[in-house]
Amino acid sequence: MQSSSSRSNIPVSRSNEVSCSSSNSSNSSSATFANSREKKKYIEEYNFPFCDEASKYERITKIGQGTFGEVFKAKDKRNPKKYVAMKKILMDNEKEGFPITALREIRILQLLKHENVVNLIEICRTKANASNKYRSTFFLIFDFCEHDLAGLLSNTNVKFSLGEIKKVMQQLLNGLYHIHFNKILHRDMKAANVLITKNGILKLADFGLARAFNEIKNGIPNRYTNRVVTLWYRPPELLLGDRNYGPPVDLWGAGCIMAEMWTRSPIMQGNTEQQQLTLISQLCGSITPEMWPGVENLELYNSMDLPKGQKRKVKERLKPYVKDVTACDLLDKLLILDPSKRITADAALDHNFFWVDPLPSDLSKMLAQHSQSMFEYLAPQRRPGQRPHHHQVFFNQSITKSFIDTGYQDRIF
Amino acid sequence: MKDVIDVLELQGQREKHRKFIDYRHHDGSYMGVRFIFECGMKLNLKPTTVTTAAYIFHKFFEETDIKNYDTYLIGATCLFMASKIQDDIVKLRDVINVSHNTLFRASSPLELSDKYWAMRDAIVQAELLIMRMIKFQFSIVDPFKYLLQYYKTLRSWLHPQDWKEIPLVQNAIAFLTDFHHDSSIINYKAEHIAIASLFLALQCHGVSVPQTDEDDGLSWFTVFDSELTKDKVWEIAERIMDCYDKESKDNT
Repeated sequence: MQSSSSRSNIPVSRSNEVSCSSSNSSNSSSATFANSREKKKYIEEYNFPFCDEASKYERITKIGQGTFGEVFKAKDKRNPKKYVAMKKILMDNEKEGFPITALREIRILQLLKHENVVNLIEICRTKANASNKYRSTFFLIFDFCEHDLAGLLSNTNVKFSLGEIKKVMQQLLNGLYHIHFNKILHRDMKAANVLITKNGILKLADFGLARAFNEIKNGIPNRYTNRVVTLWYRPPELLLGDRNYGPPVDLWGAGCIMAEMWTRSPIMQGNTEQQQLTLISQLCGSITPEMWPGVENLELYNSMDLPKGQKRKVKERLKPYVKDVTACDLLDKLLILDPSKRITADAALDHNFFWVDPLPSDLSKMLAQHSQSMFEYLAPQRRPGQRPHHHQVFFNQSITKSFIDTGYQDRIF
Repeated sequence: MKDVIDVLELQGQREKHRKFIDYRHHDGSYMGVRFIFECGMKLNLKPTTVTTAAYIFHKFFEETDIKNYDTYLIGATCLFMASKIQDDIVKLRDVINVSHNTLFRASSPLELSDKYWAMRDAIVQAELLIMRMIKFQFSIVDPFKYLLQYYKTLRSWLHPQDWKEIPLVQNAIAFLTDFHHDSSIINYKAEHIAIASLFLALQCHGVSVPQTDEDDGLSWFTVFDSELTKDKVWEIAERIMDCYDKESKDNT
């Protein structure tokens, strides 16, 4: 057996593999398998009764790419009307076996069955053979969703009415309420991770960074990594090095996404953590212990350059885009610097925005006008270096052009 | 040097007295779980991580023949997987060192030799195999959660001296933990196992729950689960007690 490789997926039975307890393990494997051809045949033909082969789906096109791997649209061969999304699990650089991020994603998706959370159908594998060096690839299989929000927003032909924007936000907050209720943090809220089916049902997707969280026990603070959330949607507490954060990190992202429903492009496109903090201060006012008690204790509070004397201008800056007063008010409550004062998903759902005319309205009619799938990955105007002129940049006065042009797909962990 | 106490010899005597299990001479699922518990404790894992490992172990062998696999390789792999599932992370290197030392008591840690890499490879592959055999079902229902919830409610029913002086919940938790040695645990609902563990603890200490008359069929647990019958609870309780018979057999 090849001892240096750690990913060939040979079924480990006592007869053909190294066992923990036999002391002369290296001899036993060669003894039972007369030759390696026989062993390879055994591996190739081994049938896993509970894990179907990925070949039951016919891949149609690639619809996403990220640090997590590739996503494909595919068709169920036995049921040609059924479309799925296949997300490849990257295992190339894993030293600790099956990647914990993929394991967490699977476990969390099994736990979170909800209309507004993407549905995991099953996990599939490829057959192991010589062409893949006897290493199976694994895929998460999801119900297919026709669009993602970033793709929809980048298409100027797609127009959302106020009622439709309310429906999007209501479903998004419903999904967040459900995952937070189950003690899970999403940790990668952004428009590209918000999927929308052709029937107008919103689904939160990509739980590759998600994890369970605890309320603080016995006064011992949590120590989660703060290298999460795409920079443009990253809340100030993470940028300042907080490791004991909670659900408010996702609500900051929800606020950024909500503003984007009108501005059509991410509202704070920083290039570095420092620039992102500057942009946040310019919008939400200076980060000070008066506005945010306890901020001075965060690890990076003293090492970051925080602009002083900035006034809070959330409503003022967003008003040109967001005419609706209740919408501006909800945005103001989502984009609050101090996470303990930021509105929760539950309270946000009770906000007047959702309960005054026009009420949230169904998206399916509007989406029916668009027969083509819209994904951020497929939308040319959102990709680096190709921004067309209609693409408004919310902060164009305060930042230089070069730093707007850096890639949207910049994911920093 | 006569007066000097020979520490090594004393230690040796104590070790002999403790009678460590030589897993290499045993087989079967009971010993596999014993191994998981011993390694799990040495790795400083949370009790729920260890019981999750035992649960996966039984799930795996529900679908396969235990004779075809190395019990301790599967056991070590279950621990490694459970640590990921429960976010109680342990390094693969540590799992290998601890399981190797538990199997070969006096040996020193494995060097970075072919044997080490072979073992590492075996665990990584076993992990992928087990995941497929358990259908990637990583969300395992935690029976301890139910036990504590039921106990909290039950406590306000009992005479205060009963729960103040008698270690009811401690014993119930111990029963529930030990029940993981038996493969039948996967056949029962977490809620039922939790109730049976509490039931057995009450029985052991002869504590009765006020206002419930067994003859009238009025049992305290009907409040928690109206479907659960007394027969079922006794069935599980007997299964729990069977675990201790297995232990005494193995020690003789």
